[in-house]
Amino acid sequence: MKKISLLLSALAGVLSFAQSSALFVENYSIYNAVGRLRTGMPGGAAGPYMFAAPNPPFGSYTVPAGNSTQYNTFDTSGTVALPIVKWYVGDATNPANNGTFAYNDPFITSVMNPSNEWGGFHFWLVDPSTNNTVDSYELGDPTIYPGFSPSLTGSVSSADWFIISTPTGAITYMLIF
Amino acid sequence: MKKFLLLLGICAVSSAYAQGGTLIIQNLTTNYDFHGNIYANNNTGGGCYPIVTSKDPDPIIVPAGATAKYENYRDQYSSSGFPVSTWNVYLGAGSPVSPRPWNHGSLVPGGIISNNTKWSMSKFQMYHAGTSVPETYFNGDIGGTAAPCNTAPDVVTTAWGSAKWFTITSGTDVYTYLIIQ
Repeated sequence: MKKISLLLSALAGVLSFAQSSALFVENYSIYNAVGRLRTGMPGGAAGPYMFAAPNPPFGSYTVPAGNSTQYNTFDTSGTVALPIVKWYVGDATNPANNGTFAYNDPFITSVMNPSNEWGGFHFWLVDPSTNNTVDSYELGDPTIYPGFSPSLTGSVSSADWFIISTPTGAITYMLIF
Repeated sequence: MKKFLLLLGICAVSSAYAQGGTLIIQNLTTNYDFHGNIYANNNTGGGCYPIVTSKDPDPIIVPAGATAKYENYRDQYSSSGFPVSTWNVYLGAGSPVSPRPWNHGSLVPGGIISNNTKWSMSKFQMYHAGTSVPETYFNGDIGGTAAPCNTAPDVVTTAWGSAKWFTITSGTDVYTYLIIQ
């Protein structure tokens, strides 16, 4: 019986530990998704937040048409496809934290990893050949960023932001169609 | 220790069971049409989302004696005798409903939603065949009971007929049946 309670509480622990979830990014559209990929405090609580620096060669954080990637944690985001090598941190509760940090900076590991969750992506879909913007979105978790929505439909595209819980933990998905 | 192993086993089964498979609705009655909506959802790791429900037609009508088959959200549109043209997708608690056509990219077989949902239940009302007159007490919510996401029983029994929900696994294929008789 003790072991059952242990297992159940271990499961519960995994589920409530949403900030450690991986983020899967998949852009199935024919447009580049350009904007700010944001993390934030659970429930929109006051505290530090951050958004992704541009991934080279782009001038803003960009998920190119047809591309996908996976970020397991904030402090390993610089080592994958579409790398986030720097995070821009803001913190109204402690302005000393404001600034730009390398993805593997100890501050990201010790402060941002345990406190933040994937929050949302404020982005524009841009035609890569003409540079025209075709749709814009504030996609994400409205409990972290009010005004963001987990499911949106534009003029020529649509976008979903959701969490799949599995027996081994939660995965956050950001899908653009 | 036995209970521990059992619980682990249940966890393993539920994770292996994530594929949707085919839903087959067999209306074996001779005098009642099935009017119902069908549901699928995630049921692993304590999360119930995404939830996918039939939107158009509302309801699906399977006439007396007919069988409807839904192999997945997309391909059923061309293969089913009673196809669903639009699904409602609920991504999470408090998330707005997204009506999605059968051929939307988010619903393709092998996609995230398809791989993480399975047929879970149906809300139905039987009608006198060929009419718009319901058989008032021949109805119900029926599904593959799996708390906490799905509390519908797998049997509905009335004085006018009964319904049964079950799954059959053949190799790696899962067939979910809803039989009305």
